[in-house]
Amino acid sequence: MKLIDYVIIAIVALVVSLVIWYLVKNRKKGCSSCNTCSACPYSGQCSDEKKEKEQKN
Amino acid sequence: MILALAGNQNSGKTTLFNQLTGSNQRVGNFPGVTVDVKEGIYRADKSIKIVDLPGIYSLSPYSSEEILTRDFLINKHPDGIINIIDGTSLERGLYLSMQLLLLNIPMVIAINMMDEVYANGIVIKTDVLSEFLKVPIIPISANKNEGTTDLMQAITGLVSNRCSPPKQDFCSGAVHRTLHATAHILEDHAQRANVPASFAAVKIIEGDEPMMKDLALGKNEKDMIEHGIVEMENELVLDRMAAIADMRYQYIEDICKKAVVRPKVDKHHAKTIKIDNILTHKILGIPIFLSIMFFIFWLTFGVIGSFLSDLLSGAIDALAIIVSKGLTSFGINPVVESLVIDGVFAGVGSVLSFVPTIIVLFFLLSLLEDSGYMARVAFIMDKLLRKIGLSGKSIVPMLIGFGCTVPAIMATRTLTSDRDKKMTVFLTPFMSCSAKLPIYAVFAMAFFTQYRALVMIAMYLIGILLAVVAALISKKFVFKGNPIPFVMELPNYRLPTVKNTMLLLWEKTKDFITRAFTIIFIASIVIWFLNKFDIRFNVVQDSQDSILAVIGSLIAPVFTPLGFGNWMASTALITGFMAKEAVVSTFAVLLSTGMENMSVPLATVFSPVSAFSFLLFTLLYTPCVAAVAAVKRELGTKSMFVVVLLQTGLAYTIALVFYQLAMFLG
Repeated sequence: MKLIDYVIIAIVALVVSLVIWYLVKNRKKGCSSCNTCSACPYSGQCSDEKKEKEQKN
Repeated sequence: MILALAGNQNSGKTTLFNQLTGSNQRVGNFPGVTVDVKEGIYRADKSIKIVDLPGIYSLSPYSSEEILTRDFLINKHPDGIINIIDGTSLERGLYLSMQLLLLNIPMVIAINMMDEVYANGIVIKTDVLSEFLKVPIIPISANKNEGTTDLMQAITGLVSNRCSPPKQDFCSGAVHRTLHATAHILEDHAQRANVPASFAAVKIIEGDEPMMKDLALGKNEKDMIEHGIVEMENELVLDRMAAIADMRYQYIEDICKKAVVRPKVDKHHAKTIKIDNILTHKILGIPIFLSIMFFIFWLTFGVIGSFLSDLLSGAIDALAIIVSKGLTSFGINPVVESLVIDGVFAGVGSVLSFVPTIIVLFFLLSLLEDSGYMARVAFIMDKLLRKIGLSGKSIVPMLIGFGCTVPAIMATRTLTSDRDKKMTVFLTPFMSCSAKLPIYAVFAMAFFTQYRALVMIAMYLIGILLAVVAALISKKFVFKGNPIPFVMELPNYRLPTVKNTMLLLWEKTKDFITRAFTIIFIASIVIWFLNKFDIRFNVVQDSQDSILAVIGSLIAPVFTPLGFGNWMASTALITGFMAKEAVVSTFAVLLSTGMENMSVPLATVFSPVSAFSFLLFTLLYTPCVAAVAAVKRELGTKSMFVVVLLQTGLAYTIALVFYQLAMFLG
């Protein structure tokens, strides 16, 4: 394997990690399905949860 | 400062919300688009929070999203209320206004759709209305962002000066006496519960149970109030609910006589009635609807959508070839090259190539929705749905289900009866969501090239037919009883706006693309890895030796009686549980091919009969994980398992019967 092979693998691994991070971040309330918050019927509750978190902090 | 947007369904609350906050919340020309409380910040003043509430007709709610609105207004105590009324149906809007005025919260009434009011030749004397209701009345046209600045100035001024609407009587006689007597009796309780006594009195007379609970009245107080109500009922010869409603409508009629001048013929409404005479015709209504849907599907799958998708898949494959050549010329390791080409390009590309089909389908559906026809569909389908134990209202979630099952399940919140809601949730997965479209397209192309469009339409129809059969069975054995009476406001027909259509289109497209680059991307990499290595992590020459083949072979025998007992098919079905599009991307990775050339290798895995059996199974088996989570949220864990097992069991049975019958008949 050459250096460029490792570079490509590293790029793919990085993208995979970013996608997983994105999916985990949005995993609640089925967000992984409806990525667009405007269309998401749960978006109201998301802001409630954010508020609760802020209050706790 | 928190300002609540409250009004009837389809009065334009979300359109105003979008204008004020700069959001792109979904709007539609049918009642009940908003099913949850949504918040945004006013773009001209960041200290003002705007809350968009689901539409209601009164503060005596029936469905879960109506309860949300009432709870917000009564318990969260917003600083101000912007009450939006559709100017073309002023009387209905004022019915809610009269209740909101009792909440003792600073309030402004925004009369929306003034452009339509003017076009219809209606004159609304806002100063006269304001004199009667004692709150500012601001004419606006939310769609064109006209009057919204005046509206915000009015409400912020009232809130800053804490100017709540003054107490006023809307009635006289028996209702008036009963209201005052009741308010006196419960005054202390109302104070403790932090609700205005006059509002509490009306609710108690109406027999509002949540209010009864909040006030915690003693037995003597309850008896005294009941005595007064019975006297009022006897005097008016009306029951309590009717007496209060009659009082409100009487008042509205009086003020509208003085404040509204209507032309002899309402042009816009007359046009709507003319169109309705054809589109909602007793006999022609359903055939017209079916023809429209058939035309949309034909355009999508047979003409424009498929042509554009073929074009895009050709472009993606060409790009993959260029990248592959580039990687080869750089002397990249063949395994790494396979990761990029067979994993990323084949997997993600196979799903991405369906973006044009999705765009065409949802563009056409959004035209129907924004024009106001979708609301008519609920109306014309009511009679038919009633026969299978549902009401016309259930058609809205089911139509949304053609896009995505998750919001469709959420949309069942608009159904007021628990029975109807459960039944609709159980039936919604039968509607083919847009994620199943790539599966149908790939298999139709590979095995039924000549009848490509027909097979795809057939899959949608089979889903609907089986939903009808399932509904009939469940009506007899599980969901006994009758559906709720169907009452729905039919909006006037409007020309679809470019903004709304584009917004809806953008949402669907963005969602599809995001899924392709997230879930499908990850699934493709995982599938590629499991297909490229054996259990000792050595690169395999033949994918039969791969980890995936080992796992898939364990499950494959289950599907042998269905005609697709091979490890590739069973693997695709498992990944399909994560996201339905993953079925196609899995085949693309396993067969190391792009969309354009998938037909040939796919024919080595399936015969035409087993391919159709596979299509039937994917049409019906368990919804994806996000939809299952939505079912759990709406109906609980038990129902979630019922949906998963029922759908998968049914899918297995139908595919088994079809395949065995086809084999038997030769």
